[in-house]
Amino acid sequence: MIKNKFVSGVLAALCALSVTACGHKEDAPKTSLTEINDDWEGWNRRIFAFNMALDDYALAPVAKGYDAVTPATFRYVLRNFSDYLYSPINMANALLQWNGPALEHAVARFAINTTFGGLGMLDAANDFGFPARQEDFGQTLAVWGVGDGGYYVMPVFGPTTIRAAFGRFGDFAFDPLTYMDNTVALALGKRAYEVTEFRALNYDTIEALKSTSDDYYAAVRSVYLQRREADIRDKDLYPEAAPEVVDFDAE
Amino acid sequence: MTYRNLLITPALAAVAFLTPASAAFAEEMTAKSFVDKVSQTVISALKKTEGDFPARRQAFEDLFAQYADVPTIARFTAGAAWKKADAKTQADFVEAFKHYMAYSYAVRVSGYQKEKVLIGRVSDLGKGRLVVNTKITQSNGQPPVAVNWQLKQTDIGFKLTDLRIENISMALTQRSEFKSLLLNNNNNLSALTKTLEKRVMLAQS
Repeated sequence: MIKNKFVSGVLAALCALSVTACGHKEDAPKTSLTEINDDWEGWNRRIFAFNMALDDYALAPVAKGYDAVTPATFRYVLRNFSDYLYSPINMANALLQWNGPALEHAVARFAINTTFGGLGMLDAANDFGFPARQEDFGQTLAVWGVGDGGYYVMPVFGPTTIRAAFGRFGDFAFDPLTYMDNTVALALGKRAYEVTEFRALNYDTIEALKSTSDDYYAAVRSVYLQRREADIRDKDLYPEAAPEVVDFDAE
Repeated sequence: MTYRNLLITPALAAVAFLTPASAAFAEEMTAKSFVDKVSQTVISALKKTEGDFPARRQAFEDLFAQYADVPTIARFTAGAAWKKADAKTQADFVEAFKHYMAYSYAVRVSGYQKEKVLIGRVSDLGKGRLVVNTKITQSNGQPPVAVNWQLKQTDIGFKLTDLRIENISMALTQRSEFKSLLLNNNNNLSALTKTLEKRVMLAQS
């Protein structure tokens, strides 16, 4: 049943995305992000304001409390295990993208962390030269040529593109938690943990960015989209490739 | 050794050094040493100004003035509004931008916690542009952070034009932020200058 729901959901999503994508010439591969596809900016800013209020009154205090009471070693192990659980999603998407280096990296990480890392408790793979990285179905759709569909801010979950948001449905199929009892509770619990850990880990950086930005919405959007593009293009796997630079002379 | 040999040997050495490959190698080494020097200066400034925000802001202002190509970065971040502005407005914006950047980075760069800057390869992109790859080790057990330094060769040596932290360009991010502010002010550069000045003044008070 889950499988059927998943397939029909993804197909519907792809159809919807194709229609959305047709209207955006920016969906062609980008060489710079000086132009941003944010057609729903007014709506997005309202959701962003809501998310910021949620952050101020709930997430930030929770993250701070979590940081204060959770031992660093315990957090390190939890982070590693959470990343380890993501391994099937990484491998499946690397395969779907027919991306040899990404697949090799994902398999090596999984094998090393299963053995030397004690079933993902330690990140031994990082010491072997295979640092954590992420492939997801949103990236796979991008590799298959699906347009990003525009920038969108989701209530609670934050910045995304339409393509990345639908990509989450695809990852659902590769996530081992999907096939366990109490799937929804497990998925929500894992997501809540990830968001809290991320906020706690980057607490000072986020607060500094918030306090110095005159338009925090625009700063977050730019950071998210640049990061997303780098992930899609697997820039971390090709350190020898010509680096991307800002063309200051073009202005 | 004859006088002739004495003359020929250094001449050959000089010619070898001046061949394109050697010149490129020399330029790469200079770029690396520039990044190393800036990194060490930043670390030293962070250590000296711990807990003293005005001193840290001043240190960053000096760093920007000495090592960054502030007018080029300012022009880029202003986008289309730059061309519409007259020379005086542009100069005012560059000055305000310098103060604003010093203030922003003084807040954003936290204290020195024994991070190390490991300098990697250099890519020569032509037209006097080079990118130096570095990794900054972290003391909290997190993987190193990749930072690419985009440099520009000028008459007085290298100047920093952009930092790409984990593939996120600081110049592009700043430009995106300013673009929204400019759109709300009819692309008026003076309005942006005033906003930046106000922001820095508030931080000082």
